[in-house]
This record gives sequence, structure tokens and C-alpha cells, in this order.
Amino acid sequence: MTDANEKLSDGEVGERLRIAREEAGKTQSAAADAAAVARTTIVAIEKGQRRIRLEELQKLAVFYGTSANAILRREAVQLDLVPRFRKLAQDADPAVENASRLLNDLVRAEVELEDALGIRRPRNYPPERPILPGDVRLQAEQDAQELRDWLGLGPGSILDIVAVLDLQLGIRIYLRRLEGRISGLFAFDDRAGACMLLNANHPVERLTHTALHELAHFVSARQKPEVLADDAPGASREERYADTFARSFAMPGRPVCQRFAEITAGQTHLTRRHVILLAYTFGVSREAMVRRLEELKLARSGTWDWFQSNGGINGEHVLQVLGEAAERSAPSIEGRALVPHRLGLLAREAWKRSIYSEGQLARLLRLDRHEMRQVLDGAEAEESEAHDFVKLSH
Amino acid sequence: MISLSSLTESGRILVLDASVIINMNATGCSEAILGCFPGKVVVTTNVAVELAHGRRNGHLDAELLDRLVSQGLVALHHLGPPAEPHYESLISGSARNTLDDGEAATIALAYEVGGVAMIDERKAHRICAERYPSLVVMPSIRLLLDPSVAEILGVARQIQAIKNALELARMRVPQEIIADLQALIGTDEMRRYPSLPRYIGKAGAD
Repeated sequence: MTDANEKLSDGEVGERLRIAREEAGKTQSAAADAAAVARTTIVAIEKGQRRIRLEELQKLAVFYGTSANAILRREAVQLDLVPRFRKLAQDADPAVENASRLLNDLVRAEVELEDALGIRRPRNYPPERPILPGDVRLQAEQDAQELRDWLGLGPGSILDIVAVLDLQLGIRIYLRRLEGRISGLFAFDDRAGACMLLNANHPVERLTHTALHELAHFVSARQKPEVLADDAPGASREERYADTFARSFAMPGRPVCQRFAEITAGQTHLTRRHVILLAYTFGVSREAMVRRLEELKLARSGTWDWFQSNGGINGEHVLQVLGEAAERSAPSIEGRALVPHRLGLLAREAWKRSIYSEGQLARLLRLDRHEMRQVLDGAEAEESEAHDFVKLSH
Repeated sequence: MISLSSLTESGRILVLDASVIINMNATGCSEAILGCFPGKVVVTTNVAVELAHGRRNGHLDAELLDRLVSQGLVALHHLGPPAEPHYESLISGSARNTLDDGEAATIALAYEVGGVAMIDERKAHRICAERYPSLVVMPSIRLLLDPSVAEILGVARQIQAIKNALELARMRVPQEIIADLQALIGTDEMRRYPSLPRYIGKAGAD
């Protein structure tokens, strides 16, 4: 039975409505028109000075693309990531808007379901390292090495950066299919913690670079949201720091020098084969590898451009050198699921325990009812198979 | 259990949730099925809004509802003040004790008019049992298994409608009705549908 303690105060409802309106990108005037009230009424409602009527709430919920229950449900988590990303750009960018909305929705759903199921996600965040005056590349190199040491990664390559960020640091990381020019987003929220959204359409090497680029922002300025896109300006100190950090983290100086020495021993020229083997060893793109060799003075500045103007280093070359091993597992399985697998499991458990209904979950995960049923398929059969022998100990 | 057709014959209004419209659409013969029930059939405007969300992915449940309304088989109902206190109590509070707007509106209206809440969501059944014990709440499968449906459509067409709902709409069937379903479509057939709970019947039963 719903008791008075479970209900939100007018102030809490007003605050939630304000966040929902800002997330939907609606003005108070437009909201007033939608609810057929004066703008001053919306102001008063959002400030908690006037109780919203049910009829008004329903109209506003539809106008904001949400439900009245999503506003009034005590556990509902309200995040303001979308307006924070919106403030980053001078002009509205639909691709960034869509991606930030997706990140907001995923994080909000995951945090709410974790809370409802009593799950506490461990965080193991390294200390923040704000960018200081002086050589920004040197700082990035040092900070990347420091973090590698802090994580106990040793000199080897990182084959699964997503697992490192998720399992070792406790960053919420989502792989979803985004518009091509968007590589990734990073945001930090006090309640949800650090969150990243990566473009699952990109090859694994690029995805790794994006994750490390966003990791640099987490290390240097975690309160500031960040978007990595093809056409984003890259000349700022923060961006140069992030790019160098990403390269240094994926390709630490000493191990690269050591591997380079081994691989080129007794030979006179740098070849495509060297680049392909080194790139494969460190799990990075050929271009990233050559640029790193240039940075470490192991190759002349302009080497990548020379290769490019002399036939490039293409997939066929890679196949000749690596054969079938060239096919690294793509992050496509996670990216193609209707919702990230962990989130899907949380939703199934919440449904099995009768905490959330199909309708509530569909709304929470931004799925239609058919998609939600797909996510829940087999949940009842699992329940009837739940045997003590396979009971989890936690 | 008393049949749905006898309830509607006695004047009970059927209030359909989104889950039921989705299942009806999948059957391929929703008009014929709903036509088996003599009473009034109603859908809340909250449910209509919810079904419209499926349009972006090409689902035609909202179109079916429009068609049923235009044919006079279903009436749209905007929740009025009498049902609002129930509706509000069903959407406001903890997750465990609340439902989404369409589900809540279906129950609130059915309770207000003394009708039958047709809803598949098992959490909704649990909440109704706790808070509205006098309300008759039934899942979609009760519509499809009703003797009047078999009588008017014929058993073969009834079975096909049920299979369509299980396959295309992933219709959920409560554990307590599984035996009835098994008696009609058979255990082997039931194994094809992942939306169903596992049926553990009598050895050799089929």
C-alpha cells in the first residue's frame, strides 16, 4: 500500500519536473502551453510553491516524453547530463544531443535499478590530476604512466580497455551504436559517478583510443562533460593532454622502445611489416603506432604521411602479415543488444522480483513494449529452473 | 473460474491494457475475438499514448486501436475525476507499489466502473490483490481461452490466434493458466515460446 512517506513533496516533484523539462529541451513557456496554464504557474510548480494537478502532470509528462509515474516514483533517478552537454556547444548538434540523451537514459536506468535491487557498485577512482602550467604533453605522459602503475598494468598492451575501466576503476561504460562522427562521451555525476558512452560501430582500436581519451578527461577534469567527435576542435591544451595521455597509456614509452628495438634488430629500414606487428602488439591503429614512434623519436617526423603518400598501410597488408589473427573481436555483440547486457540483467531481475512492471521498465529503458518483452523473454522459465545447486553465494 | 463472456453478459465493462491490445493485434483476428463479448470494451487514453510509442519501430498496435475504435468495438476513455484518486495512488510512491501510467489507468478505471481489468502484468495482479481485492483482473489469455471464442471462431482458429500472440507478441501466461493452455495446444508446442513459464505437468501428459 502506498503510504504518505513514499510520496514526494511538492518541492521534489517540482525539481523533477524542471529536470525533465530541461532534458527534453523545452522552455517554461512551451510547457505552460502544453499544460494549458500560465508560465508563472510552471515557475511556481517547479519551485515547489504550487502543487501540480494530476491533469497538468499527465500533459507535461507526455510533452516531456516521459510518464507521470517516472516523475512520481520515489526511486526514479533524475540526471541533468543532457543540458550539461548542451552547454558545451554554441549551436545545437543533434548527434551530440542524441548521444547525451542515450548516456543519460542508460545511467539513470542503471542507477535506479541498482538502488531498487540493493546493489552497490564499487568505485576505485584514482586521484584527480588537474592540468598544470608548462608542457602539457609531458604531464600527460607522466600521468598516464602513473595511472598504469596505480592499476598494476605492467608494461604490456591493454587488450580490453572496457574491462579495465569497468572492473578496475568502476566507471560506468556503455558501448552503443552512435552516429559515425561521434566517438564517445564522458560525464561525471556525484550520484552515478564517472560514465562513458563509446561508439560500438568503430573498430576496436579506435574504440580503445576513445576510451583512453575520455579516461584522460576523467583524470584531469572529471567534473566537466566531454564529447569526442571527428569535427571537434583539437587544439586546446585539454585536448592535446587527452590525446597524448591516450597514446602514452596504450603505448607506454619504454615498452614501445623495447619492442621496437627487438623487432627492428639488424634491419636498415622501417617497413609496413614493423608497423603492423607493433600496432597489433599494442592493440592500436597503424596510424596511432607510427605517430607514437614519431613522438618517441624512433621514426622521423612525417613518417606516417610518407607511408600514406607511398601506398599506405591497408587491410590487405595487415592480412598478409597477420593472417586470420588480424580479426580482433569487435565490440559489436554488446553494441547490438537492445540494451547493454548488464542493464538487461538488472531489468530482468527487477521484473522477476515484481519490483518493476513491464510498462515501467519499457519507459525506464526507452524501449517499446515489444522490445521490452524481448529483453524479458525466458525470465519466467529461469525462475522455474532456479535450483539451490546454482544459487549464487552473495 | 467464471468465464469472461458470462461476466460481460452480466454487464461488466472490459478495460484493456496496452499488453492486451498488443496481444490482440498479434492474433490477426482481434475484431472477431472482441466481437465475441457482448459488453462494452474500453481503453484509456493513457494506454493509447503508450501504444503510440511503438510507432517509431513500425509496430501497428496504435493503428489497430484506432481501427477498433472506428469500428465501434472499443471506446476510448479519458480518465475523469472519479478514478483519479485510484490512478494517483497507483503511480505515486515506491517502485514496488506503483505502475506505469497505462497500467495504472486501466486498473483505476476498471475499479471505478466495476469492470474487468484486462492486464497481463503480474505485478499489477499482485497490487490489485492487495489493494483492490474485489476487482476482477484477468490476463489476455483469458480472452483467448474463453468458450465463446472457441464457439464463434472454431477451435483451430482459436489455437492459431493463441500461437500468433505467443510468437509475435511474446504474450505472457500466468502459471495458474498454463495447464489450460497446455490442454489446448500441447506441451511440445508450448516449448517453442520463451515467454512462457516452464510447464511441469503430469508425466506423459500432452
